[in-house]
Amino acid sequence: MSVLLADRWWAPVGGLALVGAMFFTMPMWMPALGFLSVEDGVTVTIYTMLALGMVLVLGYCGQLMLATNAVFGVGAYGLAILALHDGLNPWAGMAVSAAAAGAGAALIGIMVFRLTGHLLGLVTLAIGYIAFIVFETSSLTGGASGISVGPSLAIGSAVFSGGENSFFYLCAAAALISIVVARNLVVSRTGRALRAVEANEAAAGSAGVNATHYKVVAFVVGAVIASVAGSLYANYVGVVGASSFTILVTIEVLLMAVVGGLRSIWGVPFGVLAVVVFEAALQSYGPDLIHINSSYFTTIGFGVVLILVLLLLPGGLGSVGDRLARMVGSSRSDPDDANVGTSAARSVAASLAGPGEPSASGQPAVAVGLRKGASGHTRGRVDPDPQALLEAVAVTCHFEGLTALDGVSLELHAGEVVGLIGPNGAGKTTFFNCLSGHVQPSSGVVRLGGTDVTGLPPYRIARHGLARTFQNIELFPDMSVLENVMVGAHLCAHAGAVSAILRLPGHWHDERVLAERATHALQRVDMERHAPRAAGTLPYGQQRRVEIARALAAEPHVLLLDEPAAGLSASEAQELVELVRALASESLGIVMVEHNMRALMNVADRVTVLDSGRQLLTALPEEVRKDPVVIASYLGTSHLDISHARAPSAPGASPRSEDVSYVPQGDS
Amino acid sequence: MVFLREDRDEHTAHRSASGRALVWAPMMDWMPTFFATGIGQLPETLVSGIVNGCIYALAAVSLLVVYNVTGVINFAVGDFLMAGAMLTLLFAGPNGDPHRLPLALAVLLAVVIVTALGGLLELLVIHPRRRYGTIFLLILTIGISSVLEGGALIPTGSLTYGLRPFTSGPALSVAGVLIPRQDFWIVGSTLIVMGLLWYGATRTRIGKALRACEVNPTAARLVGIRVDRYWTIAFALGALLAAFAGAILVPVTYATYNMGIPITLKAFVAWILGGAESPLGAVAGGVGFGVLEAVVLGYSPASVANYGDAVPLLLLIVALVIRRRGLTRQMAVTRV
Repeated sequence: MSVLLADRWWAPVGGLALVGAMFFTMPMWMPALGFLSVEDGVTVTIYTMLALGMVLVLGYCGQLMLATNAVFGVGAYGLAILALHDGLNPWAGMAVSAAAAGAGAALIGIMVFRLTGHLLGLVTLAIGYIAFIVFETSSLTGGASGISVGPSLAIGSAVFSGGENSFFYLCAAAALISIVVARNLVVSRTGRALRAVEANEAAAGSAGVNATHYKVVAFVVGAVIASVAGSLYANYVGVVGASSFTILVTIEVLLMAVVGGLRSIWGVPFGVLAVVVFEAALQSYGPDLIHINSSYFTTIGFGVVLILVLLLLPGGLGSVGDRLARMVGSSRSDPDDANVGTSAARSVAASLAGPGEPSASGQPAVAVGLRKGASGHTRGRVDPDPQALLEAVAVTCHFEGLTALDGVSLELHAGEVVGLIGPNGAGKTTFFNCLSGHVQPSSGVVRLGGTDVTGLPPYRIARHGLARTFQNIELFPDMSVLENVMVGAHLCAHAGAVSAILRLPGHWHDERVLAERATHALQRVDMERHAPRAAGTLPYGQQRRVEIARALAAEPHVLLLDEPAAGLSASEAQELVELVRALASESLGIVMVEHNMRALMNVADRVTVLDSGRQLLTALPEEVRKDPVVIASYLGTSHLDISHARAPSAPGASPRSEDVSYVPQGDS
Repeated sequence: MVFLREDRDEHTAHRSASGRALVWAPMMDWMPTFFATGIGQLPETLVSGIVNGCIYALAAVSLLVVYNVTGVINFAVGDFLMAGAMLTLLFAGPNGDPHRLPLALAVLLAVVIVTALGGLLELLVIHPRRRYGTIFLLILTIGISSVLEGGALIPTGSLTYGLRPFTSGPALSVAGVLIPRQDFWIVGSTLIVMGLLWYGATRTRIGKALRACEVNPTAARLVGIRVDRYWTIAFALGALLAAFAGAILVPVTYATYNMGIPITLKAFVAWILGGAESPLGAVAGGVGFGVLEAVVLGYSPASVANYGDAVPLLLLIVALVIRRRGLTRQMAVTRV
């Protein structure tokens, strides 16, 4: 992934040098081609700024926002109107317009980001269309005839009037700065949160990522850049008319972003350049081929190119660049060093790690006593904390008439492991979802550390110290293992978009802290070797461990594990049991859904049995094992084998033959 | 008729960034006669709204059919409608050219061609990437939209075209309300098409299979329905509905190559207003939106009505912010 590459020092420098060289040589080679001029260079730089916003919001955040023409227009008309009516200096006009565009984007974003992706696309396209009609109709914007722009941008005696080379260089500088801004944003805590939201909003939420916040951040940054582009454009054309801000601008920007690669900041200028050159060539040479108005070809040309790129090269030019960079990089750089501070963090974490206890596989997998939040709940405290870490009272959940949960209660104390069992459809995962906020309970109360968190969204519940894993492994597949776990540690740092963009000390500090935390969490599950790999490429069992590490990285008080042993080998399951025990000894409270009875009964202090949404009982493991009702509903008898864990327990020796010992004798 | 706002030539407008000459489409004085209606003309306003609403309803059902079966929002629905209108014009000849095909044959031919085009484009463009996410597929349909729009632009050259009504003659008076003859065609044929659609969906094998695909693709596959094939059928059916809407619409509005996107947006509004779930809802949403649009624009002061499409589209955003049930079905929550 480009993001891994971007973390090597030479990648951003090389990218910047390449794009800078491309930009600043344009006045030389463009006229030489015959069908291009420096004006096309201005188009490239301005559209680069527009397409960056698209890549930030669509590529990195997965949100289809099709209102580019609106913010572009705000920048252009803002500059013109402020100069005309208020006599404002054009630089000030640019700044005010950008602020207005940012504020408008935040407002609209908060309103519409509650919608899902493709609906969002149409809504924002409608916003863009409305903006065009307003530009075209309103008297403030000069209606159909447009509005003339006041004095040109100037620094001292240097005037950047449109059409001159100096103006082109101003645009190129602005585009380069925008690229750096976008790149810095993407390679940061904020950027990881963005990509996490894109990959899996539910999992990002349980890591404490407020999806709406980060979507709005990306949208605002994109809008500010697009607005500045609009102001430059206004300065360039002199007269701002509505026809420059049609929906087609948005679609063209979308095309440019797709050609450049939606996941590649560095690909953007090249995508824009490719489209501009294509369009100019079509207009210059089209008439020679077919004798009709050449401009008629651009629309169909755009459509064809858009489709072809999506079908043949979905990653755009950026993916080609990535591949090249990786080829160069593999000869230069140890893949283990590909991430910020990985090796440093590893040595720090290793020095902090306790002696460790050998796990079944002989790996020192367990380190004790490192939790930041452990001070209040250390093992040293003798009497059990009277305050339950997690308390669920009569949680009930209906789905359109179906009662998935009916009055389930649970109490979890520090250092305790509660097992949650029951047949498929018993409501175990729904119960977890109610606890973690992914599903709103219809009634009942959930308290974390005494605070009522019922019905709060997942990211807010995560702030109260709850972390979870998912039954179907919800990792962020395109992100590296380390990045996945760093997202898990999201709440351990505070650096925001501004410090990421400006690379303030806070950013570097937080990156270091997060990498340390993440590396430490990976060590606990014995996965630190795989830190640079893309999470989606790992085998199933390792993905489970990464997911557990991601939950641990949040340093939670309460950990919900949804079938953590599913798909693990016997020895891996044994390691898991030891890990869970070690975590409990550090005063975590753990609730665990598990079908592997052997693992569960080994580790659980108490077991709660659910059946059809009802709570059959909560008791010690031995009692549960012997309870006739539980046996009938779940554990089963030797002739009524419904337990997942016992599925392979055919007569005769098998690795799981111990499971048979959990079948009570002589019941039913 | 408040149907389309005549925009300036959009496809060349953006070129101004590189300093090329702007090509302005013939600016039609397009203040619809509708805006002139007085307060006393409520019945005419309502009829006009219902007629427009029928077109929105057909386009909304087209969106619905494609979405329910494939999960894709077909951004090109308005362009399929445009293609239907343009082909009808091509075959029938604008305004009574005697040398062309008879009207019924022209409509039939246009609808058949666009239907085939819809299926073909699905096979060529959507099919290879159908495992990708809905946003990816939506962007692909934006590409299809550009291809259709650009494909229409080359022969029509951004001019506007009109067609004679299906039956000529003065407007008919119903209970004192003057109703143009084409309005009867639009409302009547919409009813017939919806009836046929209902019959097809509930009584035929293909219809039942389509509905099976939309309710549960996995189960449909298990019982031997080739779900992939129904993606193609859904796109073709969607194109058919849109093309038919275009064919019956073209006598009451002007057709241009770029009429599609505003219609797509309005069909989308109708679909959302109708709850985004059932065809009946989409029809109700379409007619409701048509009437709402007509009344709002008809009775707004000129300073507001001048904003034309912007007014009803603003309603879209309001509707979406208020009414989110039915839209959030696929939110992350259900994935967990």
